[in-house]
Amino acid sequence: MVAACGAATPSARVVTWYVGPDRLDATTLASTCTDQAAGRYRIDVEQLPDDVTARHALLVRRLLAQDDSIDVLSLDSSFTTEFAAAGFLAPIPAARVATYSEGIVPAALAAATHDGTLVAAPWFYDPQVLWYRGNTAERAGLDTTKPISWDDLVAGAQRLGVTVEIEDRDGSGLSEWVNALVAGTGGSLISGDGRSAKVGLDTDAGRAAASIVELYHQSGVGPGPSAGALARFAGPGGGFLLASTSAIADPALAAVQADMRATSYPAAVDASIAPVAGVELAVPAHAKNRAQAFSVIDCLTSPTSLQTLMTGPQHSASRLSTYQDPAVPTSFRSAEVALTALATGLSVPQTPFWANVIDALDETWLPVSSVTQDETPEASQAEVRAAVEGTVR
Amino acid sequence: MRSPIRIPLKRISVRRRLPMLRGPHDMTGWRWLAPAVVVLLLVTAWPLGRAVWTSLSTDPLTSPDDRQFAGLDNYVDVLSSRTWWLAVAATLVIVVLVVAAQLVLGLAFAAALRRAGALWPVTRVLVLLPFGLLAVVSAVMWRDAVTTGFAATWFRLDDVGPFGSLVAVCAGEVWRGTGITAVILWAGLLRVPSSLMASAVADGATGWQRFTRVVLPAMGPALAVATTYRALDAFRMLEGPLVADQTGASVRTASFLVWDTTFSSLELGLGAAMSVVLVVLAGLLAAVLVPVLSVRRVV
Repeated sequence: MVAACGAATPSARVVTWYVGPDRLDATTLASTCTDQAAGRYRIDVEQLPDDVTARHALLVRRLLAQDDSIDVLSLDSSFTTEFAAAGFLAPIPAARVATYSEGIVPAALAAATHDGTLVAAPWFYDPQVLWYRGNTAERAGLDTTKPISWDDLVAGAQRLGVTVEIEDRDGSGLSEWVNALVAGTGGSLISGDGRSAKVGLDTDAGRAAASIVELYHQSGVGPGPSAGALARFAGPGGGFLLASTSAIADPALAAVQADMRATSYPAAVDASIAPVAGVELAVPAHAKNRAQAFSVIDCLTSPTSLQTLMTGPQHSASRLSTYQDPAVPTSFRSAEVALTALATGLSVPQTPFWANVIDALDETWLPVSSVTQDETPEASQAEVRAAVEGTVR
Repeated sequence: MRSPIRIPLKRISVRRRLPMLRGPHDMTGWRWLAPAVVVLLLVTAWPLGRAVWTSLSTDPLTSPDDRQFAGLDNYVDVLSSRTWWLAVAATLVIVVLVVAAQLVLGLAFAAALRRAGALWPVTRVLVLLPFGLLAVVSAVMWRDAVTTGFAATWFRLDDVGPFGSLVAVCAGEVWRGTGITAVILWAGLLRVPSSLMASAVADGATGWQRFTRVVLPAMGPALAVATTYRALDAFRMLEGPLVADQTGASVRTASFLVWDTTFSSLELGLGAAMSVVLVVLAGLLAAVLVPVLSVRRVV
């Protein structure tokens, strides 16, 4: 049979799925779903830009122009509020809402919800964890059974002469770090809605967050969030790595993968609040194949697909039941830490202006060497407030 | 200092006025011009009017719920912003540097072109070639030249941060605009009457005197056109700063801010207000340049 060779029947509708720079093998997932569809649809995979700003710009331009060539979108959870507010996303059919939201990590569900309505299907939701190599933590005198403080982590790394690398895959690393640090010191980067949201940087929490960045830089344990973090962690001076659960599946860490251990994200005061960022699956409002697109999402969020996400690329599925899948505990390397982090972690604030806030934070906190607790929080407060209020920055 | 040799050139007017449209023939001229003027008004007035209208509200592109009429708030915000005036100042510095370099180099080229003789058809195309390229192409080329290419090696310009960006931005614009400046100035050189030049030589005028008292007055109109045109072109320069921009980069021109606010922050109202202010500033620049450069002053 010709169909058995993998060629879809000519009548199959093509569903175009745009994926971001995730670690998953989208092509394989897509062909699995195409096979299961038995000729109802065929999935074409298209790649979005790796950089968060470029990805945002491309999507906004195309969705604003009512481009109908995107059927399914791997949507950064940080864009969801903006895209939903702009009316870019097709409503999720009532019959599917319960299926998509069943058993989802509360924070992931909140991130996919706008104005009380589910606007995208939560897919995976990766918390950052503290990765270390072999017995580095023990040698640095760190007790991994409870959250390690930033002070102890930096001091320990300094004593051993190893680095504390911070992963930045797509340009959102700094903003996620600052957001988590401010929350970790008892504050809130942005609270409230829309234009009138309150910015909490020029506060004690903001200054405490800046003092951690200052301490990190002055002790010389690393360059701050950077794209080369993984490669340096795998290199001779590597000791600690702050990165998402999926980092371990990165080819850059292949050499040290077997030796990697995870513990919870360092605590700014006493509780560990990890940055969490995820991807949802959404259908653009002007998608050509809306009905088929939701069938594709059904397949991609099925227990089998979610299990594949966790066991292979080590993305933390948004659905908690996936953690109970028999295959997961043995092959998902940071299960226990990830589950705790998902309960206590923090995603970026739900503001439609987050993309501008990323810019404002990058302008004021980079390079990390320029951060001081006396000046940065105040300057950054003004920039972030301007980004939220829409005034000249 | 006065030269010992008196050259009786001051009284000779080399100004040539365009035939003024006065009298019964006026309307004939306007009838011919009307279609062009109407088209020009349509293509300029419509977007400009749209920009003014947009500038009166806050209009975040992806957050339609936050859209509201704001009156002059956007203008107050722009005019009271340090960032904006820094960008305007940076733009003016670039304009002065770039236009000065283009005039000097352009004049040298024009003088050389005048002697090119039979090669003129070829050289004319050659000098215009950079101007024919898209501005973004020359911007990328010069950014790379300064950050990683020959300019970096020759002048040790790599890794000099904002200064390197400024050099790249200016060099790109100078490279692009010198050719067209040279062609305009070459047209001006053709206006220098050879009989006057011959008399000046016969009277024993030095090279400098010939330049300041014969060549420059005759070239006045061409110089004025070249300066105004290049200044306004440099004033709206976007591509160079755009490709040279990195996070925290400091060379931000006013048009770059307009672009960034509109297409990156997606704040349409604010971006429109900036662009309207920019148009007014460009108008002011022209209003200052035109009388300053008027032929009367040069003679």
